[in-house]
Amino acid sequence: MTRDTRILVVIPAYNEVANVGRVVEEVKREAPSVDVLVVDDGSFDATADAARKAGAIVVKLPFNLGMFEAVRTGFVYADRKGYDIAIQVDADGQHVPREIEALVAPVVEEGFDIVVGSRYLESRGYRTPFFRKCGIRLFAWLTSVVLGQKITDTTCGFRSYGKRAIRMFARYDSAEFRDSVGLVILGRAGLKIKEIPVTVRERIGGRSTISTIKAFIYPFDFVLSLMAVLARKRLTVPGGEA
Amino acid sequence: MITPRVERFAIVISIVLILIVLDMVRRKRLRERYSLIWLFAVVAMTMLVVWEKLLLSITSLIGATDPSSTLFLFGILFALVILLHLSNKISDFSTQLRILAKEMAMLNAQLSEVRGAYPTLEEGERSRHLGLGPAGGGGTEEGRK
Repeated sequence: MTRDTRILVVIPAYNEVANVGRVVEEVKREAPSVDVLVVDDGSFDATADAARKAGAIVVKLPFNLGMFEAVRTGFVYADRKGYDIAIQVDADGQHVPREIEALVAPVVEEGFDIVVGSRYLESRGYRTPFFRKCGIRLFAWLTSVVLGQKITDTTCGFRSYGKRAIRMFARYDSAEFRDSVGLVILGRAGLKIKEIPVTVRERIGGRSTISTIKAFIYPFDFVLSLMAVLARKRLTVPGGEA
Repeated sequence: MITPRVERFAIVISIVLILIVLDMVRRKRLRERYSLIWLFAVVAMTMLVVWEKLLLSITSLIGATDPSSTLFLFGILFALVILLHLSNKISDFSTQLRILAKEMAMLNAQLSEVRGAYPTLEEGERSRHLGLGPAGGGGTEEGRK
């Protein structure tokens, strides 16, 4: 990490008052040189206050836009403020801030545009429920085929993005950027993706936001989005300042 | 078959519909562009009823046995077109709303950055200004729980 690389950690948070403060503090402790931005996705608890108290910059969305849009809001912020790297970290404390450095290194040193944390690249004792695992395998396989590059985990929210990727996310407003389809869009635009193994902890508190209905719709949504993206023209990286 | 009674009935309905549409345009409850679609549809349906030859030839053209099914077909088709159009509009609006929400959030953050203090207004005070009731998510809070 060079000194003049400006890094922004983006933490999307929706009703995470129980965890967000601890996560922000841990990130600041493990990576003192980064700025921390919490995007409050229209929470109705005190998430924004807790984040602020822990020393994060807070952008509060007026209503819930969904995890990905919250992340994208963070990218718009990063783009406009001229950050070189944006790192996405979940607010529930599942990711290990100590691994930020490993996530950043390939961007700074090897010129990758996106570094994705993978729970499955190495076995680190993270267990996934059976059905979710099947889904993740399927998405990962489809994404790998389309990208022509092996991807093992498409849904992990621990990632780092270089300047070109930040611009793509910040300036193209398309709902299809979510999760792995986002990877496909970026890959097709010629951006370089790398996966590295990460550790995923159990949640500290609260519950996961994934509901049964969403879990059922997700595969269809994924395939449809993927087809829509493949049917469209490849995007190019926008240039210039925000 | 289209009896004179059905014909009279259809004409009355058409006139009422046209008046409602025109009145909505006058009161700015309906944009002119939408009113055109509706007026066109009403006039088309009326013509089908009044101009029996046209209805019969379309009926035989599409292979229907009863002229009234042709009328129903056109009615449903028109409703579908309007629905599709509305879905399209809603998609546009939700994209625009999303962008606006993000821009608003960014501006809010920048504003407090400029003022050097956060929060600029107490949550409750801001909600009162907006007429949203108690603090936080405002009126939607209950519905989400």
